[in-house]
Amino acid sequence: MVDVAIIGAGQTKYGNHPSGLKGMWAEAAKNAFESVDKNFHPSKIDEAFIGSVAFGGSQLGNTAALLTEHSAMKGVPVRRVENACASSGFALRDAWMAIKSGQADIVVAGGIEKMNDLTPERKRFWLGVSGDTEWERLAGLTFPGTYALMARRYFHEFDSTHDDLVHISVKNHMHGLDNEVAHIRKNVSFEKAKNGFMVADPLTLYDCCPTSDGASCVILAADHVVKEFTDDPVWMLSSGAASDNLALHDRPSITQLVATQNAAKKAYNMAGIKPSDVDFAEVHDCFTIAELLATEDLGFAQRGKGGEFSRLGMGRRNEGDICINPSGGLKSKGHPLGATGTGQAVEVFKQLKGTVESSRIVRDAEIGITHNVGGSGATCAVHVFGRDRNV
Amino acid sequence: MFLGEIAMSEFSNWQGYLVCNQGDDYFISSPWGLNNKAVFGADSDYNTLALSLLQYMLSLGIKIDSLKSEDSIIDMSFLNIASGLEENTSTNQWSIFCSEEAMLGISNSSLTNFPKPENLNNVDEIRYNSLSEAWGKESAIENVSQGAYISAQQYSETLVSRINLLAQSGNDNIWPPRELNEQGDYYGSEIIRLSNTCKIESWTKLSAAGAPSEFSIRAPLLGGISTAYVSFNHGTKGVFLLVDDEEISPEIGDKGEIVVRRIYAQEGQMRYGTKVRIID
Repeated sequence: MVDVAIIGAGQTKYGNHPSGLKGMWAEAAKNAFESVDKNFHPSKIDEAFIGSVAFGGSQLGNTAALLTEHSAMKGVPVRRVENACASSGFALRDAWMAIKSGQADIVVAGGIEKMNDLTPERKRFWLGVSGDTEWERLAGLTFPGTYALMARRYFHEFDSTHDDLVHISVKNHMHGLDNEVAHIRKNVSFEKAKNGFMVADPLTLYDCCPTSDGASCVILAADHVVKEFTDDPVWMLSSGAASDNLALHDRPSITQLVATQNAAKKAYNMAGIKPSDVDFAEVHDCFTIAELLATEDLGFAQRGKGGEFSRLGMGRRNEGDICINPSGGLKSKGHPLGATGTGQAVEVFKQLKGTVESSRIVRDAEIGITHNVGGSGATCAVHVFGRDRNV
Repeated sequence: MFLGEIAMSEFSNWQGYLVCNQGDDYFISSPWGLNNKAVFGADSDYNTLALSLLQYMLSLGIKIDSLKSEDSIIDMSFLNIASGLEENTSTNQWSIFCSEEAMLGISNSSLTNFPKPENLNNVDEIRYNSLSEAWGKESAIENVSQGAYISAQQYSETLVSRINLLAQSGNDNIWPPRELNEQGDYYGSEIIRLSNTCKIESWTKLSAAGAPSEFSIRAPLLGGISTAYVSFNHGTKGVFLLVDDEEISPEIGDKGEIVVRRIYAQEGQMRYGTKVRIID
């Protein structure tokens, strides 16, 4: 079966972006086009998948057609992929499968979200729409509340306290400090993060990712055309995905994400690797407790040991066996819902190519993964990338 | 038809309210008071009082074939769905009588006076008035969603299961209800009612800024809203707001009771639902 590589990747800066949907997507696409080493032209694109929640509803229908029209991809078969915050993680999976199937050679996967052009009042109407709304929203839950329930339960079941989450927040802000595309670029002290404004007890402001504008775009190519564009591709070794009950209360346990476990298992098996082979991971830390659970569900820490993993600083860049969220993660880099999954892939591409800011590089990295979660864990996509085609 | 009151009487606690009976007359009152009058708590109204009193009477084995109310303030369609009773159909006719205070009675004859509960818990007048005003704004027909929301039909579709904790029967009790089972067939018609007691498994208090839009008018007045994740018998779980949005901090393992209260109002329709009340 055909192998798949990333030949180009680009994104906008995350944050309060001055452009709307069309401008942001055009910027991300242009950055991706220009990152290809040679011979690329958008007319060579066979297919495109663009993830978005369509937050705010300004372009709910035919989002993808509008975006491709404004990014030199007019006429390309395209569709919007929606899986909440995992939208572009699944767009990436769809793009990978399109090439794997033999139906396409050059495929774009991307994502976009415009979140900060709404009034605070209107924005609230668009938050909390990716849970089981009939049951969770009527119980007063948006995602800060949902993840707060998970955090308190985790502290009850295991040897962990809120301090473990604070360490994650401090680490991710440190990782994102020099990331030029990050939404929040500042170091945060332990005391400040620990004593932040209480958003959803026990989660403070520093446990929560920001709401960001942003777009991201990666270009995938089949192995038989890769040489035309680059001698130094990043290989997409596998794609694992899974789903679970949408509502938190329908799951047997709220201190683990089964969708993550299953998606990771598939991705690792397909790539022929173990968790210990991973050098760095872009993890879906929409809330710090989400990263703590992910370190366990992805196999980097034993169940119940995620707190200790964080406490000991085991995910810090170039300090342990693995770096968690070298980009700063959603916490620092930002979280433009539909753009996050392919935004993670942009970071992996640049890390493995060695083109990130020199202060941020994960040394000697050969294998990186992305972990993109929808909602509170109803959907998850995990992808494995490598410097080499075979590991 | 608002009626007067009579002397103090012996009330007992029931679902966060106060209940008593005098012969065939049954009464329920809010436990909250202001200026020596019973007033509604943060999430109660005549309909939640009426349903609670009906559930009290049914728990005593009182036979209620049908129910009516002369007061338009009583939403009989909600009560019928929530209680399973029918309106105006039988000889054993019971009627709801509302007081001008936050209390009401149900009788199969007629009521002219209400007993008065002792020792009401005084509420802060400013907070009470602010919340009353907020409910007024929230209940207005003009209060519509500015984006995603739960439609009236979507709300109504699951109301019976929500209010009555009706679960599908399977290896475990299945609640909220599902459509197809693991074999791809529709679930059978066997329905069981979950116990109305539960255990707190986790909880959170969401700040006003983080609360869903439906609560955006009242949440700032309440200082946020609290939600608990609870377990019932046989492993069934659920998430519920805490009753009265009180300033309480439950402990994991606390025992709770599921009761019916106002959740929010939108498009001129009050949305009722189940909340959890800590009883340990």
